[in-house]
Amino acid sequence: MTRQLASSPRAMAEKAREVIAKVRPGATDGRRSLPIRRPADEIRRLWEDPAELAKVLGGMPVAEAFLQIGPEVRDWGTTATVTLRLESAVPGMATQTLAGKAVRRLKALAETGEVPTTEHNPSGREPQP
Amino acid sequence: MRALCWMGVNDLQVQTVPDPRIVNPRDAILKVRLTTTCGSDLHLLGGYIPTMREGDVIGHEYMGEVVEVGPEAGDLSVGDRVVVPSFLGCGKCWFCEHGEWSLCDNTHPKPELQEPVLGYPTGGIPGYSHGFGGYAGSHAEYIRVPHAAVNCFKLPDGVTDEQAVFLSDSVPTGYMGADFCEIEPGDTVAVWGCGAVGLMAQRSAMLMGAERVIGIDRLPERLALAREKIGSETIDYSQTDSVLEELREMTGGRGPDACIEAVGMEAHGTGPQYAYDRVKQALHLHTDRGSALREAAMACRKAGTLAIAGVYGVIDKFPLGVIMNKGLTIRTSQQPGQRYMPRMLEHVQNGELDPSFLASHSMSLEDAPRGYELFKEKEDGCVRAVFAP
Repeated sequence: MTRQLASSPRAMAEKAREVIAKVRPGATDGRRSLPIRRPADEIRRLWEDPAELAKVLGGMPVAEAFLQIGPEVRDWGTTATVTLRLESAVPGMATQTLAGKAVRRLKALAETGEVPTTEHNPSGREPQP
Repeated sequence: MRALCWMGVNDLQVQTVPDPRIVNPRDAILKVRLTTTCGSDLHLLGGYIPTMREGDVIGHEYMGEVVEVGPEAGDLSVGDRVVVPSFLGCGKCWFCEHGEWSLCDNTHPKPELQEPVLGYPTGGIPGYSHGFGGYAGSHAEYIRVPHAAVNCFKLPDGVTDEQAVFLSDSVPTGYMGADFCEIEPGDTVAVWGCGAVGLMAQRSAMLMGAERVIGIDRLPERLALAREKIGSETIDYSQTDSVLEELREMTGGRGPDACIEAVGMEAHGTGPQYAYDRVKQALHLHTDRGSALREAAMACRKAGTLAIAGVYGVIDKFPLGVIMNKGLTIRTSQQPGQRYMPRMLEHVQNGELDPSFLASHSMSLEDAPRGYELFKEKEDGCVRAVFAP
């Protein structure tokens, strides 16, 4: 019975999860900062607007997201720190990477009014019109 | 629309793909009038730049006509004839405001692909892999230009399409290389590579006051262009035992004041070091063959400047000891074309700079795969193949 369980796909997946967790424990929280060349209250206003926040966090498996405003650094701008809490743990530095993407999107939105995107990008992968 | 797609290593095909459209308020759509091959595209074709996907539209050196503008595209109007530097800037971030447009913080849609390699992402560039942003390229009938007000430069009447297309990338890359050398009157500048970028670096060095400019290559037709179109002296490295010795003698024993490397990661060369590079590159143990770079570092005079305008990935046997012990200054970047565009346009209008001779082969977009073959193999004296979509 035990042997049968151990060789079932479910048991193998469970075992793999255990091994991976030992090697590289996953994290749910990630944090990244960037200077943004806009006043603090304007950055906060963007963050608190659900439509704008959706542009910052779009496509990310985020349970909670926090914004901290730090000091202004010379002509680099206001230090903004985004902390993400994900729905479930992901390996290694992936949470930091996602937090990095979020704070970059926030910076682009605050500084230029838009987030860079390749949406509707023409390619040979799309069905031919 | 029709577009040239990367379908795999050394596999380019012209396909019908969806038209681009305005996505963000600062966008514009251009009808591409001319678009050209670039040496850096060969690294994509050869599979040395990762993060390409089957079906990607390539091309990044182009000019065109505005056919649609977003609500915040500034004073651009439908019908404007414009040139666009290949790296996109936003005009608002710290880097753009300090003239470092190719390092823009706000134009890379996929920074997470580049941060693990570079630490911090560059600006985005069309048609040059997802690691560089993933924007669809210019070898197509139409292209979307983000932040169009700061990236599209209106062309004065006197500047032809054939001149303007090269102001997108090859001229500013060469111009940047010469600018990095902080040339003083009377200086001697040696330039490795007599392709489009190398030739433009040579012309730019003259415009900035160099007394002597020496171009180094192995292709007779390119060396002839350097002599006849630019006025450079030349060295054919395949016909000499030592470029270093030649340069030493040509400069009275002191070496060139500045050296510009305009070759990049697929340098050709001679001798055992070149064989070593080829084998390691073929085995993907490093991406770069760096013989030109190493030679330039050796040849440069003490306390001189080495400007790297060629495109590099990962290299070993980098001659740091040569650079350190001789007190060389190294300057390098992807080109910030927006910084140089007003000056470059002025040079063209004044008749001091005419890059149109670089267009050795003009063809339709449908012939682009053949154009890349000619360009890659340097057949038929090909310097640049230019496509009119």
